[in-house]
Amino acid sequence: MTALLLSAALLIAQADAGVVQRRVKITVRAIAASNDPAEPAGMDPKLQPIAPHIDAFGEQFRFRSYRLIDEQTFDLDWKSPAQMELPGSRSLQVTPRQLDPDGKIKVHLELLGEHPAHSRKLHTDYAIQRGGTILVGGIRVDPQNEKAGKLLIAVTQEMEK
Amino acid sequence: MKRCEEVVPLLGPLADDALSADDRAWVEDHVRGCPSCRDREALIGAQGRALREALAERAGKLELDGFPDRVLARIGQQRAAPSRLPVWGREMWWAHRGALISAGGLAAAACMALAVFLSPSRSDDELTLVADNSPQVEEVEFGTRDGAVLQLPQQTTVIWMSDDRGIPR
Repeated sequence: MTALLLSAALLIAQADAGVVQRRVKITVRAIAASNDPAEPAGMDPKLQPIAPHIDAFGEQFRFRSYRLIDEQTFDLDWKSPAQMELPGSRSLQVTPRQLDPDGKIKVHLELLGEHPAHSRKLHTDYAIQRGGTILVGGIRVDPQNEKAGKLLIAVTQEMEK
Repeated sequence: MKRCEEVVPLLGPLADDALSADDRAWVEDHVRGCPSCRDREALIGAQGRALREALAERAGKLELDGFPDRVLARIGQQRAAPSRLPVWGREMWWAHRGALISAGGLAAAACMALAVFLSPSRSDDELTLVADNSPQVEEVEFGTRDGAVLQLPQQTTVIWMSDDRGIPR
């Protein structure tokens, strides 16, 4: 009986571990960081979940305002890319690659350029813990208009429920 | 107007307030009219501030109470050590200097190896800048653009790139 119970517990534990490792939840937020006096100063309240990161960024880069342009959450399989359209016909592709033994998730990220070439502007591999956020930015929100500010992309590894 | 490639090397000194008044005037003039160099200047400024904050944080954790006294006491101990170079020692040196140099080299190598094995591991405080839970960038490719990776407080990692096609040639 004990052996049966132990086997059942093991199977449940394995199944549970499988659920945790099978899918990855990533939230991507596209943010306009601007010094345009016409924009309301400060941080968009919708950025509250990543406020500490925006504050730390703002301490160094000193933009006047941070406005959320778009936000999407992706529930992904390992090695399955998610693509999000960005202003100015650019896009971001993010792919969870693997789970490290220390619990960090390795992610590949690519920032693709405008139509029609969609040339790769940046690509990176990083490791992030659950709940962590990485910020990628520097290109203009509107390639034709400098006043629209800089595009700041926050990629957050959501905590598993 | 000066070209970007002449301005870029001076952006660091500009941030450090290390330019002469003449140079400062034309570099600032260029930066005002050049979005790319404004980006670079902003990035250099951000890097500088992040570095200063990180260093200030580490310096704040150093134990400096009584530091001058400890230094003076150490100097006093070293001065008090007796000289160990009598005539016999000099003669031995000249007679066997080849062997002594070799032995000295081996001893130094052994000491360095021992130092590596026996040195205490770094404390948690010393590791906070590199071993926190910030996202760790393993590889980044900016293509033809300039860029940098910054580790900021609040476990915030920033990959920042310029919005131009590099320094014009």
